Amino acid sequence: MTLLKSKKVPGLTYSSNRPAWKEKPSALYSAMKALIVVGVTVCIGLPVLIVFSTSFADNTQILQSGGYVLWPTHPNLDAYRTLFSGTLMIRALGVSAFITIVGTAIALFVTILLAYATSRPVLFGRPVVLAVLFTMLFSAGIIPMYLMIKQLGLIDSLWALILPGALGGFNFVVMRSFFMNIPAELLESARIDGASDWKILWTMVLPLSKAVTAVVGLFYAVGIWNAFFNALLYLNDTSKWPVQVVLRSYVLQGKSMTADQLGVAVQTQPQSLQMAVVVIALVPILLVYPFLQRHFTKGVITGAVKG
Amino acid sequence: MSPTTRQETLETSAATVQSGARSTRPSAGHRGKPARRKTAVHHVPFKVRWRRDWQMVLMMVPGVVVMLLFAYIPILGNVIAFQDYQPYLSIFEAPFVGIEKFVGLFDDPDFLGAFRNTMVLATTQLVLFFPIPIILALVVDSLSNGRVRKVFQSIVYLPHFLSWVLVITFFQEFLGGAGFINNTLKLMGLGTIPFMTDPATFPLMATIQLVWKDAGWAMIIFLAALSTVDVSLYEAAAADGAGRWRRLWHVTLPSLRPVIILLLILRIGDILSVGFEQFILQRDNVGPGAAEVLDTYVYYSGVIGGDWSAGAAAGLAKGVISALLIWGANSLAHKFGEAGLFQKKVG
Amino acid sequence: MSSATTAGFSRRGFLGMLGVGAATLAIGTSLSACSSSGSGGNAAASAAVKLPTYKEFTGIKPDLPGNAQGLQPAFLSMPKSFVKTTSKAPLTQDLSAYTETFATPPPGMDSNPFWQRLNTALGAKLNLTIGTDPGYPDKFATMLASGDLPDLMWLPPNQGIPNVGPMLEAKFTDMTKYLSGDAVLQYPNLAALKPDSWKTAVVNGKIWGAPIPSTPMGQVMIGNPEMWSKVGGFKFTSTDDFMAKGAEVLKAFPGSFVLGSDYINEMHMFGEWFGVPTGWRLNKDRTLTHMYETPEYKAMLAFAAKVFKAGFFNPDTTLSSFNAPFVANKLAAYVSVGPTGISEVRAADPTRHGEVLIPFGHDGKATPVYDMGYGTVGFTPLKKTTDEKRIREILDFYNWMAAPFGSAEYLQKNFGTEGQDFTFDKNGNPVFTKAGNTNAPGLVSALQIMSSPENPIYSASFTEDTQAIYDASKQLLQYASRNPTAGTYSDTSSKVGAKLTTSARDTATDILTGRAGVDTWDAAVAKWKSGGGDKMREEYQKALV
Repeated sequence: MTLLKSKKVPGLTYSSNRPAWKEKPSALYSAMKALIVVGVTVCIGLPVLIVFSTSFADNTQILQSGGYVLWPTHPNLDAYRTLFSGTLMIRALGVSAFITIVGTAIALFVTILLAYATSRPVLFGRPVVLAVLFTMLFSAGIIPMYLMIKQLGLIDSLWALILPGALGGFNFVVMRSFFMNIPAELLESARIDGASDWKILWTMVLPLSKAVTAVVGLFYAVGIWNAFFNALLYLNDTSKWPVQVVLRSYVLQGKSMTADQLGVAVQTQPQSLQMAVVVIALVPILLVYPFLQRHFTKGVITGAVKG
Repeated sequence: MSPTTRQETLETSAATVQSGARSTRPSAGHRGKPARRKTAVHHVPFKVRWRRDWQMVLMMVPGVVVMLLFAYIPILGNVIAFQDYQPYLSIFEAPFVGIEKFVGLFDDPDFLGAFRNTMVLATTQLVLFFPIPIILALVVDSLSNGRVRKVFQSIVYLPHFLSWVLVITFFQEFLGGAGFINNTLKLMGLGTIPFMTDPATFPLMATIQLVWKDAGWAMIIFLAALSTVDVSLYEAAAADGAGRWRRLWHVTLPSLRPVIILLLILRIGDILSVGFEQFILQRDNVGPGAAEVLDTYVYYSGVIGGDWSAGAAAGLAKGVISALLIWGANSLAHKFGEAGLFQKKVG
Repeated sequence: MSSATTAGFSRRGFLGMLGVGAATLAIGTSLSACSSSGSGGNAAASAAVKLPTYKEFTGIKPDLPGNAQGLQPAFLSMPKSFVKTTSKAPLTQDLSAYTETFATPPPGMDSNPFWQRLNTALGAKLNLTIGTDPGYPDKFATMLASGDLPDLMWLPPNQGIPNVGPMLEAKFTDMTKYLSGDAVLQYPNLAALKPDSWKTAVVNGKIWGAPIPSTPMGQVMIGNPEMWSKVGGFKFTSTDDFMAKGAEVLKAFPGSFVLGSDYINEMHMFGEWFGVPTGWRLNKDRTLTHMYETPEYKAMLAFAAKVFKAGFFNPDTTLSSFNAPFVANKLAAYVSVGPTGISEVRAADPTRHGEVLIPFGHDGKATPVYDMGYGTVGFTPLKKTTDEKRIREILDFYNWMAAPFGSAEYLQKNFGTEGQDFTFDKNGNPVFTKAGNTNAPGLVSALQIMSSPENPIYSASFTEDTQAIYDASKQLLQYASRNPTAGTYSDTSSKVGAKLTTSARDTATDILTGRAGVDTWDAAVAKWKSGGGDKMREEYQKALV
């Protein structure tokens, strides 16, 4: 938003955000758009609201309304209090924050370098690209992965959750294709002027690629934040568990096939707690996204190229 | 010297005249016709290219190391697809059984059923799901009120973070046999509609669920692509008298095309993976006849039965088919002059 | 041993004499005699092993006595004094183990005083790697493959860990000589485990560790008394009666359903009414017939389809919990793990409870069946070692963990230390303190599947439930039936059994929901037979001779 706004000619009273060259929208067009926006918002907003409401609702209301409530009549924090009793959840949040921040930074670094280096027709570029594509098609089983992690001495280490995912094939492909769209003339002229490839990447390519960096960073961050299976496999110490593993353990209780067949007693958790679990998983994303949004704004490349 | 393009002339002259000074590279070649450049590459000697590109090669090192450690070496473990492997044996002790596990896979009528379902679901998803994130991105992009745009954008991607269990529970609460709609119909004395339990319409239902959950998330990438569209193009088009829809057709969509094609190719390559949890959860709702997909098949035959070798075999078979699909889709893209996923033969 | 063999043989003879449909009458003295002999139902090699001698623990008297048929003793309140059953702390060096929790994972040892006090009681550190479901078997396999095993690993009987026999031989310690026969008497708490429980831990004719007993009872249908009381109660004389009363319930409670959506479990219950055998039926000529092959099973399927057509089932298969619709009187019955299921609804509403359905004959004449459950939750073998001192120490550890209900060790293991982790309420029941509630449940759940005593029926908060569960168990046991192949190992079954069962169940579900006709069942059975069912039969028959 900011970029467009700053370029705006002041004094256009009818719509402060519409550029001068854009015509006034027709009534039908506006109505159609409004319908889509409202429709989608309701379809998605309502269930999400139900998740939040139920997490704050008391047990009686939940049971009366059949499991989910639209709005809590007697809102309380019991579910959250249960989740945060003891040190497990707080530690887990710390662990998740650490692996997400460090993991995303490392993954972005690795991916940006490889994507930029292969976005130009350079030595070894093509075989490396094909090699990455190959890893998207064929994956290793959990046993060889475990053996590798163990060989590297990463069992029970948080690095086991960070390093193996440092190069995502999909993210690499997306990033590389954005880099390829940057006009070659721009970069070549800088090279002729004596700039090193390293300098070109950090001072020219990246400023032009804020949007894709934001997207890929988000993809990595969400991937790490949501991962739980690797943590189960590679971490033995429960105090190192990330938040998703802890959250799942709350949600899955009472639904375990094993427990059911074996007749093992399981704690069943109230619905409000299960929804609180969903909320805790959602909130960090809700907090981070607005900061990324600003990069998805038209005009970034023009401004930079022209500037 | 044979007929050359502009870049080749530049390259060769740079190589010979400047001998190792900062020579230029041919452009990445996504807009041109890649086939034409094939011959050019080999004319540049390795030494010259190394002197030109060593910094770039250095940048590849971290990624290549990660790839070797966490992809290539472990991938070698797939050798168990040709063995009768058990976790308590080492790979070196497990007896080799040849292609027995692959034969077992393709001999099973259930496998073929799962394959068919997967293709039906993937095709439905490709046709119905794929365009929706693009449309959503265009809608968001066209919202001129900043606050609406921000709020809308942050709502649509949220369902991506809800688990499939929850998503399907919500669909059931609303459309299920005991859900809101059917309860209302029942109370009005009308018959119920088996939205969630009709095997015939299941591919459609599954796609609607996928749209609800992931369309907003998939939109983000197109939003990012839209942000790179040159605004001056719009101004120029508007100045030429192009209206809203003509600008969409002649400026916006062509700018998005490389990304769309790229994602389309990736999706085609990934066609054999339509999801796992979504289908295993609804397996009893509509029966395996409609909801058994390759991933659930492998789960039941490989993982549940503890047959690691069969699981690896299924993974390899899937990889080979996917590779063929990607290669095919990429070649098709080249035919239409698109850059696609990877270039045919550029240096 | 000779008398035991005779007893075991006589049971089979007894079963063999009964006609089709009545084989499930296998109850009473004949069965229990066999059970305590240990010769029944083990693979040919296993038949030779002498199970640990059973010596009941008599130090604590239950309020309601148990019996040899499987009735669990019941305690209406916690015993007043806590007897110590071991003389010293079992461990002299740290012990590592891989186990699973069915509750929220506990805080780590460093920040968990409950755990630290347990270590003190054990004499050394208990280093646990705590897994959760799903993921347990995956991690099990990776640990196994890496060759770097903890001392003990819980081996669940039903999570798809295949080829158990060769795996145990390759990686774990044979404990037969320390446990077989009278050798076990050195560990009195282990000697108090029932021979039926021990069978789980016998593979390839060797004993691989201490079993972990759970309830011997199997699944039951739990009814909603508020709904069924409107139509004359939760008992039926025939399937027609069931259909009629069910229809009345639907009328009396608009928008409700009679049954949950867990089709497989519901069909399991229907099968009991139709006299479907428990897994396999042992015929007169000592051959086996699988339940899928019986006409009873097919008749049950036709009935299930009728029930579905009548709109009895909640059609949404992903119901997260039965509690909410149960409390709201939208669900009249569902299937639970056992008679203890009557207390499940208390978690949602303490004033409500369920009621156990006693199986009935489908036509009002046939004798129903009650399928007993797994009975144990597997065992916890020790990684391969020849160090006798270490093996003895592990056995002491098993023995400590298996201390019976009401003992001092039991209290320490399940509730911790008084004043710190728990306090006694006015009825003398231990109740966790706030700290205990945070630190204990996840760990206790994990400890319970390492080594455990036989479980009594006991509920700290709802004494009336204890009585009701005890009474229902007694009634159910008159129809008790066990799978004749239980505790027997079939290679084919361990390889393809799960897959075959899935496939057959899929067809059964298709028939129930009307997606397929009853006639498609024959093809499914043929597929089951050719896919490995016949081979399984052969292997089991060989093992049962």
